Amino acid sequence: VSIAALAEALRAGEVSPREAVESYLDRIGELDGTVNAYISVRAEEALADADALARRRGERGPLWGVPIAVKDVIDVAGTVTTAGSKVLDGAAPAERDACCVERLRRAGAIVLGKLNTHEFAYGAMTTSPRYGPAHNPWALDRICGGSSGGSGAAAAAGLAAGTLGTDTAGSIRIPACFTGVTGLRPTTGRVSNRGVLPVAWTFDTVGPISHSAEDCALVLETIAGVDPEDPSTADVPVPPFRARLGDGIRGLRVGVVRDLLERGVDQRVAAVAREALDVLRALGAELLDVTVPWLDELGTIQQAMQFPEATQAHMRWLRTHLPDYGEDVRARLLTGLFLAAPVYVLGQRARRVAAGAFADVFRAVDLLAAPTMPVLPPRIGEETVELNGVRAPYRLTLIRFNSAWSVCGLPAMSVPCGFVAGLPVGLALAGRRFDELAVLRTAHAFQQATDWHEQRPPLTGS
Amino acid sequence: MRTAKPLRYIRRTVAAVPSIEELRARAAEQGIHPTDQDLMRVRGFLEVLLPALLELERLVPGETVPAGMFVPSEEP
Repeated sequence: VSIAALAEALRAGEVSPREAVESYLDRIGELDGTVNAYISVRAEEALADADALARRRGERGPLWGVPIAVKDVIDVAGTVTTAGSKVLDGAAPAERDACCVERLRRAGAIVLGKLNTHEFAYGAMTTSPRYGPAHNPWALDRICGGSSGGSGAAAAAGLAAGTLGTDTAGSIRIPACFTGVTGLRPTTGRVSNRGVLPVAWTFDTVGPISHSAEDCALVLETIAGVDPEDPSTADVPVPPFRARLGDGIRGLRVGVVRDLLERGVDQRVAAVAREALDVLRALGAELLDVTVPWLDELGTIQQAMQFPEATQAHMRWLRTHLPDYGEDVRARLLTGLFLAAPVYVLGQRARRVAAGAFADVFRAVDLLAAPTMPVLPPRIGEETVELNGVRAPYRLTLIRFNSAWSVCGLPAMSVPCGFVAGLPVGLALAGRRFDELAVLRTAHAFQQATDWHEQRPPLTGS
Repeated sequence: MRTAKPLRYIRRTVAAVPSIEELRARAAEQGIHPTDQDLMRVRGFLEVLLPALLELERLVPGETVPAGMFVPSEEP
């Protein structure tokens, strides 16, 4: 059930908040032993919250009674934030909700639990050595991607009406793509990061993962907006995203990033993305081939800043808990120790050049489109993936497809657009800064014309 | 591509990755004590990253000032 449909049923009194929560708790009990999307389920608290909502009089928010789950790097008062890591074993429960959780609750949402993540959201696998891997609901032996893998898995398997993830270099878009759901990385600065464990402050952003663009719009307009306690948020108006979804895309200029359809991409994935672009054209969009300058360098630009920032965020634990990190995250965090200060400044200088290049591209088009991920999800435990008959390191295949949008803080979305070998494929749509509306409108128009977002994995209980 | 050969040369000769001993000493200066196995993995990252950074430095025009951070009006 989509967030929009469930919210409507709750408002109409067809379902009570308690019934909604119980229904998801039953499904979690039935399926999560197999999927492992959750790190903790707030069963008693969520039921109590549901009863409190039902008792309270007054205006009901747009998400009244809707059960939502959040990635376990986001604070929920009274619950330990584990970040999927042994490093935080024994940590005290959060004293306060993260800003995004505060806003969800203010809109009436009920927090169902905390979702599996790549350790400290610093990787694209979600194979936590502490809590185990999240399994892809479409093929349980494969990863969900990451780092918000639990958020993608929970949304795909119907273990929450919608979820929140975080995205630094693809961590919402990758799992949304691999699990066949819709995920939006908002513009950096659109959503507060207060109460969210950082990966790299320059790029981090919180965003929704759910079944549809409409659901993402509904959640985004709830959590977006300036936060006086987070200096990274921007004081720009938040449009009524959902109300304007139906504006259509006739005449919208969509820049097709030809290089991402032709190089470093599984040609079966590219073929599915091309068919999706044909749908956009049939809906009235004007498709134009574009070249994104610096495409091969954008990953390096991001890493020049991301490595040092992530390492700085972890210094206290690197000194005291080094052996408690998983191997891969430990190596990434240690790498940041050995990059000299000029590297960081080089990254910021190159970022300005890249931003200028994107500004030029966006004079000619309103939106950019490409495959979200160039490959299909690897099997759990494998670090390489098949790319047109050759084994390639998974980590390196995804950088060009994700850092491009993160470096300049653009809003970017993954929309389900088909399948290859029974595994979902996503179309990436990226817009100008703070123009989530163009991204959401396009995704919504696509979803009104197709039913890929309505496909569900064939799961049975363990 | 005309630049391919010089770039390969730069990658081989200039972007030298520090030895395990050097990395261990530099980590210790910061109060961190990784294992040799950790540092082998670090070297794997640096072997890819350092040449790419050298190339990036070559490409960025000299007059470019850094982008801002947390100042939305200045941020890209």
